[in-house]
Amino acid sequence: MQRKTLSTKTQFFLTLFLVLGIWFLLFLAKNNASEYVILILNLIAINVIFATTLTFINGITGIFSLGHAGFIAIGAYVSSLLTLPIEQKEMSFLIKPLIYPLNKVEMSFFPACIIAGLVSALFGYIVAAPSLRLIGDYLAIATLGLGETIRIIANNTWSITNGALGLKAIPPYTNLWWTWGWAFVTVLVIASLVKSSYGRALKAIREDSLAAKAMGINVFSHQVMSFVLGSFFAGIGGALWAHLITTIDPKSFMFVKTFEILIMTVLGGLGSISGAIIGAAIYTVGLEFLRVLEAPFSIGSITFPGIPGMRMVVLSLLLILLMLFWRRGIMGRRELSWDGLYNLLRRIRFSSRGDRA
Amino acid sequence: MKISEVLLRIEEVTKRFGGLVAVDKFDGYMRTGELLGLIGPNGAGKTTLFNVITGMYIPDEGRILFQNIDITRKPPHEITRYGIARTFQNIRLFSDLTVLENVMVSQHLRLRNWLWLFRSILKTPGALKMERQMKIKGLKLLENVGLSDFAYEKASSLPYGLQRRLEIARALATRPKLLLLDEPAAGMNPQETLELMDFIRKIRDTFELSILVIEHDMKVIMGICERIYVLDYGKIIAEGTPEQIQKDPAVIKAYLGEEVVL
Repeated sequence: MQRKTLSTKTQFFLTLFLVLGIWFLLFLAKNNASEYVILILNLIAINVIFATTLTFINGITGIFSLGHAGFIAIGAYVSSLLTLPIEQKEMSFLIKPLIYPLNKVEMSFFPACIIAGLVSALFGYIVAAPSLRLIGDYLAIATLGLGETIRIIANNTWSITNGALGLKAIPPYTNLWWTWGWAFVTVLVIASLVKSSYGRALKAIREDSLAAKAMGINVFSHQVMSFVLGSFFAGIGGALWAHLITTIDPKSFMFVKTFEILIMTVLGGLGSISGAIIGAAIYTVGLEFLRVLEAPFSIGSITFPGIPGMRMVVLSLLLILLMLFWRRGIMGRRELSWDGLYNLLRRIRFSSRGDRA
Repeated sequence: MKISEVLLRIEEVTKRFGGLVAVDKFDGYMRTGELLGLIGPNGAGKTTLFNVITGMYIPDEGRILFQNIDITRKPPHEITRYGIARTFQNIRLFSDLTVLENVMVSQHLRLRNWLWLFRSILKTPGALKMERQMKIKGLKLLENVGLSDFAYEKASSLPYGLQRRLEIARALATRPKLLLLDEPAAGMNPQETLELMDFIRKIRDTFELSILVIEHDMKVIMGICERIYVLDYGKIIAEGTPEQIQKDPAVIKAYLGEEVVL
């Protein structure tokens, strides 16, 4: 059967309906769902931002970066410092007072998010030049060290980050509209870029950077662009996260955070934007479902106490199984598309009728 | 096609790797429209010379002039923009991309500044038009080289001979004036080799190219080249038409060794 493609207009309206549908569901959730469910919905959107950006850097461009937690930390700290009320800053910074002008600033959430993203992007730009001279495993180690460096700097610059005490009572500005709105923008921008000539160029760099150079692509500047764009949205994700959990300290941005995101992207399929979204959703929800494993349970008259951390053990086993049977993640490098769905439906209809076209 | 002025001039180019002199004071030129051959035993420095011309290596000495512009220290992507494209000895396709995407990647250099990045994200009419043009040009090029049936297949799924052909098509998509082919017939059977020879002649005429070929298969070199340079240990040991080269004692010595009289 021949593949058919839908017109751009049809695709646009289908996407519009999907977005409106999600918006309606969120609207229902906001008014009816429990706080716990709303928290998870928020976390899904934030993780979608993290996973999409990491997929963009790692999976599409092929820069094996493990410094994502660092960019998230920068975004989280910058926006928190910009939005914390001035009195709260005076109360929190016990060891050393906060430096000027941060101690006099208090702004609203949206500009703080943008600034957080820009600072994170600027940092991405500065570190891209030296680290992109490395390739493969070396780049991974360097960026891993980079993320840790950011955390350690945060741990020791008491007059800016309040060191190990962290920042408390961050205004809980984050709500479903902000998280899902930003997740939507992130996915839209990155997917749109991946579908353009730039996306092809980035994939070409991933496949063979030497050949990409020979085809007239400025490999270095494209890699930097990818890194900067990824860290911009990672910074915004970090800002949203900080204003969701309202307390941050350097320990929240250990390299484990990066690996958590890496798991989502690998689960969904490294190199697929739709895979990143699916991976982020499954990981976030799955981790909550596995909580039952940590609760005390009883078989007959014997009661077993809950074992903290048990869900991580089970999660690891599940991931190992995934790696064994589904080597390239759920989506591999494929993307979900309306065309794909349409053709799938057509095939189902044809086969149920018994036609062989 | 009229063979006229000098397109590429290589002046005393030397490239060393530590103590090894891979290319030793290479001095040569190439005319517009010429089909030039570059031969020599293994390790003679042919591919190194290619890498120096395309900017992959920076020469230790000497200059390279392309259309009277000094391109010696330019990075590879800029040299491609001046109009020099190449293929690789071991095929280096973007294997996970489709055949069409492979030739579309080579048109990316048409987006000259970073404004296009924002246009591409916002999908402005200009960006969409450019995308359509790239696709149309890509399909046309594939038709020209006989690969249109495979446009939406993955590049890695093509048979070997067609992968070679796609690599040439991908280089052509950068709209070069000079095409460098690094052992295009390597690993081909005699039938494929014959087709390749026709193909090289054909693309030279259709795309008004000048072509520089490295090749070990003497049938190919002698069959298509108008002039040949012979390299050995990084030095030119002979230069001339195929007939002259075949008779040249220095070439015979380099390939077969010297007769030893005991």
